[in-house]
Amino acid sequence: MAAEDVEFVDYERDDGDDGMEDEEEDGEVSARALPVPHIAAPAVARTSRGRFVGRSRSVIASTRDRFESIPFAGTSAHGGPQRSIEGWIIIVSGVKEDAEESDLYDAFAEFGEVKDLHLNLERRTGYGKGYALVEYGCFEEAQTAIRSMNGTQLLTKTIHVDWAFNRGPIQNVTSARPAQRRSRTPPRRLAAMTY
Amino acid sequence: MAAVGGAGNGAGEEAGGAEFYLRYYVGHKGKFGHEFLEFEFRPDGKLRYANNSNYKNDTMIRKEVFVSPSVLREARRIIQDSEIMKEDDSNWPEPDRVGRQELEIVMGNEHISFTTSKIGSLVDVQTSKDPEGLRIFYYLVQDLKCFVFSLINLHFKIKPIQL
Repeated sequence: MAAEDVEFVDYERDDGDDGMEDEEEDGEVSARALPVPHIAAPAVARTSRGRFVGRSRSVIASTRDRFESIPFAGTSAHGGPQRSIEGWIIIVSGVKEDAEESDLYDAFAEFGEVKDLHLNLERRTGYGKGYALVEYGCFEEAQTAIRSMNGTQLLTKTIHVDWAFNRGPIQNVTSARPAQRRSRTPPRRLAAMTY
Repeated sequence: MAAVGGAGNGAGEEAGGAEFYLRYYVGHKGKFGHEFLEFEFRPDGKLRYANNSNYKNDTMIRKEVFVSPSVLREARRIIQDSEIMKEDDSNWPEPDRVGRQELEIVMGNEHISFTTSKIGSLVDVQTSKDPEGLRIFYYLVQDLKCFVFSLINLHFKIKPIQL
């Protein structure tokens, strides 16, 4: 922990040296010199902005309480899609802004009963935000929908279709590191962001 | 550390994973205690959601699930399209007794940690000292909440307590 703290403090100092000049007239210097926040930026970050850095009311960042999750069904601990409470959820991205629920429904009902469908709207424009979430009851239906629809065109726009939830962490986050066994200890970089 | 981060900005970013963090908090402390809603996307895909309203029930909702790279990529896209990373919260209304919002994002080599009061409606935005920036924040927060509520609702079949 001590090493991480030092690392973070160094980073903050670097930030102050590099990027403060254009801000000094705003009187924001003192706000930027606040104590180390609970959530630190990764070491690559060069700019860190905001008046209340280090004074967050975050509950998530400070709690050590357990968060509930849906247990894995199979034996393999990591990798592969995660079942949701009533079925399997897939995400459709690249959805045309004027697509309607019926367009999505018609396209995806081909692979099984669509148990739920969220086509969320952009609050500013009222048009589609560009993604949809689709629920199937069976794994096979969802898998077939992904394999059949990913990379195809829906209303002249290419859509990307994938599972929404995974059983474990995304592995390529630490792709620059040598492959390591997952343990209860979170990766150092992640730890640096959350303590 | 620097070498790891640099690599993460290249191939990892295209894969939709590395160097992305998002946290949003809205809440207040009042006669019903600390009532809040908060969610967080971590770089490895862990989505955490916490929601507490003592008025309606005493138990805090705490849920977590790993999302796929595609879901993280969509969150990044929503943020990129909003251009929130170009904004600054220095002229936004300060948090007060009515409430507080926090939006923290790490993307690429940028880190923002913005804080402001609760925004009741667009009128609050228009009458602020930075209507253009606050409008971007106002709509982005709604779009992000909408995205997370859908994910949490579909996965756990629970409805968020709106604050």
